[in-house]
Amino acid sequence: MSFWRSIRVGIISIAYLLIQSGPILALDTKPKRFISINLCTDQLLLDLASKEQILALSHMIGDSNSSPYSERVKGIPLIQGTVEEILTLDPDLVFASNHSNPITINLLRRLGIKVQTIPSVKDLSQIETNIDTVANAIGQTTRANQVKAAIRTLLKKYKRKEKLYRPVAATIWANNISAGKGTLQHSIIAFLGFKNLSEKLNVTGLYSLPLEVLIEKKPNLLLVSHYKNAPSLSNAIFSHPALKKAFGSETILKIPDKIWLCGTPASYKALELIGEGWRERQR
Amino acid sequence: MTLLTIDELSVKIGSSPILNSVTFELQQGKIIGLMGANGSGKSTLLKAIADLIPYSGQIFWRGQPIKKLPSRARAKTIGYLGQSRLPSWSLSVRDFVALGRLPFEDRNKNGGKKILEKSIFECDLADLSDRLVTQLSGGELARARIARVIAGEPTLLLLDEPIAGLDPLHQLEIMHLLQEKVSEGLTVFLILHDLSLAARFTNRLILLKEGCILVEGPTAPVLNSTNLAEAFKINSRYCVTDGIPYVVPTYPIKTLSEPQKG
Amino acid sequence: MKKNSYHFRKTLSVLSGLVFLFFLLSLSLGPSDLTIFDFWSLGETKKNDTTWLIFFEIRLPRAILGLAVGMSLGLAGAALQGYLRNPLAEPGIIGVSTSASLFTVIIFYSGLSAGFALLMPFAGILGATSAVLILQSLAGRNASALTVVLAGVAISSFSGALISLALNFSANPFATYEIVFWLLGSVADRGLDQVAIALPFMAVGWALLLWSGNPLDALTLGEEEAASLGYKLSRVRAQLVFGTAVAVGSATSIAGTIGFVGLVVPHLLRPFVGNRPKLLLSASALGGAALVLAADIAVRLLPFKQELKLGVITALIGAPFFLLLIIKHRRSVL
Repeated sequence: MSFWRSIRVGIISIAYLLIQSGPILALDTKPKRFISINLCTDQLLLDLASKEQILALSHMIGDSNSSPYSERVKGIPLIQGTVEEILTLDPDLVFASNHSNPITINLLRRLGIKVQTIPSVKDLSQIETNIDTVANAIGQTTRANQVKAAIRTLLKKYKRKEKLYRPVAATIWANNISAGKGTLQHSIIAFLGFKNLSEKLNVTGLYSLPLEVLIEKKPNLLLVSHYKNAPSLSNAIFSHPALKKAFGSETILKIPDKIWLCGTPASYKALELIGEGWRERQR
Repeated sequence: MTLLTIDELSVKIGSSPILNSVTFELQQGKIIGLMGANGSGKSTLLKAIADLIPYSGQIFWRGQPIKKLPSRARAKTIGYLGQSRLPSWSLSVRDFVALGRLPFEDRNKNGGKKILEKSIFECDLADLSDRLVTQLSGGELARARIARVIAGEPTLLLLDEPIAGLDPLHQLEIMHLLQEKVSEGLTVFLILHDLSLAARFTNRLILLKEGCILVEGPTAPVLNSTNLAEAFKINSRYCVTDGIPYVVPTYPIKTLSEPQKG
Repeated sequence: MKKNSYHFRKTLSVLSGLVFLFFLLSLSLGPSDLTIFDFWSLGETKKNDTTWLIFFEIRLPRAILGLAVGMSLGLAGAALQGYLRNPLAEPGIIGVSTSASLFTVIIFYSGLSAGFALLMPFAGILGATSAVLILQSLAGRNASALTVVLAGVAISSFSGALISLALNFSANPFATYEIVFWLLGSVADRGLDQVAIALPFMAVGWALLLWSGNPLDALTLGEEEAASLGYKLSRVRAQLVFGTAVAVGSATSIAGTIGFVGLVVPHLLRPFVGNRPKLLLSASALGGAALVLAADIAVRLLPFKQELKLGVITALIGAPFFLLLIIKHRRSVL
């Protein structure tokens, strides 16, 4: 083979190799794009990802009644969460909750789309675990550490020192639902040093709390979570005369439902609200 | 004396005339019969007098326009029995007859109870007073209905075919009963189809034909063959046996003269 | 059947006794540990004391509401059966209750009643009136029992569907599930303030219906003879229609649709009052109150986590009863 011929082969080979490896190099530098189809994972993504990483979020995050982030979603497409919408957008990874529709998740996986399910939070400590899971998947560990640091400062501020006297707190939602042991809300009030009314009643999880029992047990603090002011029989308890007469304004603390619906960094706001509210009432 | 004066009474249902300028008087203390072919307007006339349907023309009660009489006072003076028989609920005979006292609102008072028992007794229902009306025979039910209407102690009775469908015994029973009440001062204006019973028990008779009065007056002259032919399209004969009058109708009608031979 | 009036007085006393007993029982039942003896020993306690609150603001309204709703339904059932001469008539079956619920749902979920609580019973009454008027035009004046029931089924189904639609339009996501309340009814968790608004309307309805006792008796003889006894039929009809609409409409606006009470009670009590429509009215009022109070007690004694709705109990009793009635009256009614 002549010298010039070898050079030509060499140049063509190198060029060929470069072209073949081009896409691989491109993959390395192109930013990954993510979709979330659950209100709670929406919030995690908003807190941890950068704007270009978010391809779409679920429509619930735009509803100011369910979401504390509704103002931050300007410019982000909001979807219903159907397989069709997701296919069209072609994400690299979809975040869902372990309670999201299993049919949707199965179909997405069969079509080759990666889905990461994040467990719903039953305890404060699980929030940090979830933050780590999401942060690792999207490659934002630095930001995650910042968020976790802020959380820890807040926790230090509100952790109650005396464990002897534990005032009784009760939570109440529409339809007389209350939160017992094994729920996020319970772990928040337990952290703040309260005894949950549900412990007196020996119930766990979300349970139905009759108005009579609530009045009879007279908790020191009643946390009222109003979903929405639109009329519904579920809200009847909030305007029942017996409730108003039994608990004065110093006993009732209103918590917007959207704050602690999900286990996300925003939930710590609830902790703050309750902590501050209780301190004020002690003065 | 004249109890009821009907003046130019007309009734229209939709655009079809049922009664046309009917005029007559009812005298107190008499049994007046109302007869006519089916559809001639008999029931309609009775209903108009009972103020159950709208009409044009005038009705005078003892000389005053009847419209001036409030419905409660009217209910206490004029009793009405319609054609439908079976009551909607199975009341006891006593409770059923007691309904006649409704306009007086004294069903539970002593005065009302006395009148109630009297009516039951007069209609020979004493043994049946605790039976349910649905358990009565036709004749017994007819007596009960009469008892109900006389329990109101009316001055005038309007009866629409009170004896239709009854066997001869019970028919006579009712007619005798009515005759007795009339002798005590009641006035009865009743619709019937039986020519012989009409001949025997009514004092006066009105024959209706196609919504107009064909003839009106004391019974016997009204029941002549010309009138009956005109009203019912039948031949007839008025007979009297042992002082009891009866009418024999024959069919078909050919002419009023002797039938043609051949 | 010797002395009918004696039977009647005895029946009324027994029924009154039952109502009183159930009322007291209702006051004694509840998820908290308080019993009626705690109530008796209240004495000089303050108005905001827990025991006082539980009895006066939670249990008392519930018992009063149960009694009042039961009276309205029993009375309306007896009146409707007497007027229509139809053993199958009752406010639930002929669609009056469901229509009342529909109008109330529209007023409540649209937020219109937020400022004017009086709008709720008004809406219920308007809905009930519409149903009766539509029923009359559908079934005609001398309709058979079957026609009336069929027309009622049509009205009921249509209103029920519209309720579901209206609830879906609501801004509050819980609303869709509340159809269970509106179609099955409940007297639980109402405050004295709400009961106090609906009660006067119900009382007006009771007065109108009880007052129609004599005309109903007269109607036993049929419309013509009843008129000859001095009763203006158009007036009687208006009184009955309005009375039923007001009593049932206001009751439904606060407690939802509770069916079959107006069917079962008059039927059970009719033999005890000698089949007399007028006496049946007051007997059915008390009987209805007793039945609803008893059902409300049963609902609290059943071991379910979520309290069963009242209408379930009344339907469990009433629907088989309804079928039996149809079979029994098959020939005469249908």
